[in-house]
Amino acid sequence: MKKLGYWYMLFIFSISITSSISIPDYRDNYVNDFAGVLSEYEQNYLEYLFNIVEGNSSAEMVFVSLPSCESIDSISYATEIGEKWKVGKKDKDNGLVILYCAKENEIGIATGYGLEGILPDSKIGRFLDEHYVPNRENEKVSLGITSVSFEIATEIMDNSEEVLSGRSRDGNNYNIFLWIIFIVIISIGIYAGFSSNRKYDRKYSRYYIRVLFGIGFLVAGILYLESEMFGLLFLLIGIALFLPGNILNIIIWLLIGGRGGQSRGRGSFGGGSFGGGGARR
Amino acid sequence: MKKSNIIWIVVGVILLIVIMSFVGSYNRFVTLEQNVDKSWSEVENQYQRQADLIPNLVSIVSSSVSSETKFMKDIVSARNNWQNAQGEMERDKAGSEMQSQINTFVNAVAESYPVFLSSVQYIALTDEVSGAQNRITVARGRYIENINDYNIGIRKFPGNIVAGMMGLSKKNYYRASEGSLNTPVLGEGVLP
Repeated sequence: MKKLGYWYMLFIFSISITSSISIPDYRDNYVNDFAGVLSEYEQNYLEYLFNIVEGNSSAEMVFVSLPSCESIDSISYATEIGEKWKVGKKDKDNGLVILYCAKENEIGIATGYGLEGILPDSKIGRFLDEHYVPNRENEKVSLGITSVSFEIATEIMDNSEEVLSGRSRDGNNYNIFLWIIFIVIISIGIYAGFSSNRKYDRKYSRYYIRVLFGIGFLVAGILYLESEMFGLLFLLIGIALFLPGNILNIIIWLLIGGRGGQSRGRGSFGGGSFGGGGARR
Repeated sequence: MKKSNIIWIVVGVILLIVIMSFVGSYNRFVTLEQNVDKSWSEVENQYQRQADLIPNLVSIVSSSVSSETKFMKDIVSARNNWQNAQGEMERDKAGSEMQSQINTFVNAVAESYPVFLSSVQYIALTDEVSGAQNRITVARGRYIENINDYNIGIRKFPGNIVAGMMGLSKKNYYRASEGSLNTPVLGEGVLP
């Protein structure tokens, strides 16, 4: 029994090593000083600075400090944070994450896709060498952090036009369009379904309208098979409109209501993405 | 309604649902395959970015380092190997080797020719190199994730029936041997 216990512990231990690094949970703030390296004044300073940067250029700068970076290098970690918190505007990918790892005394700065033009890796490295490293050598890490943040903020704002015009990597804006069509079709279909009456139907043109909407739904179902779920949903609705009785329609209505839509993490960060660029010291 | 009518309607509906889900699966596999291709070309982009930095590295240190030195020759041939490699797996392998040759190069210079560590030009270049390494890591992480999504998708039921009909087979990717790459693969959270 004891031996089994030992092997079990080993098993669990090896699993926990390979589990993914823990990204801190999403927060709304520009400044997330989990390791407590900044004074309150310095935190307020950075909050204020990053606020101005966002207002001026729409770029989202974020500072995070962690007690330890768990032997992942600071750029990779900063990139993961940027991706998880979706720092930066979605259509511009203009996020920037400054990460300080207290235990390793390492700083890493990750730039979103949209900022790579004005802040290439070597420039970030140079800023760190000129404004962060000297301060760190003098045991003034927090001063280094605020200095380099200021330099980067200035650089972004000096190029705010380019940052504002921004370019994104995927054009996923058509999703909204699809949603509008979806809602319109659902509304028409439900209206037709609820306001129908069997005996009445067959005698008058209402019946044909119902058939039309039923066909419309089937066609929409085929078109919307980009997303399997939607396709099947439309199909069911189309079938329901063909069949007599309003009960089926009520069931469909409940089904739609029940879907609710996938909720994405909402917060003040815009949905930007990162490619892995940046520098560390 | 006549009993036989109802049966026909039910059969029709079931058939329709089956057909719809097949079409849905087909569309989904098209998307999954497309994602793999898209993310692979991003990996290629980043390998290219890294390959472009190599001539700069070589020329900057050539003032002090002879081109016959092993790490100089190795990095140039690694780049050539990548440029000549054919096929996704081969190119990925050659690209990974190019990555590790660059690491060897940078470490060798740091150890034997530390004068360059105070050259602003050289430092800027190593920042770019390290950024390129990181971008490769991120791009490969996404590429591998997409491949896994694809592989899982074509095996799950009932999608696997459609996959079989489409002739889709499992995709492979190059797995570096343990410890040959210094950077962890993002998205998998595997510690080096």
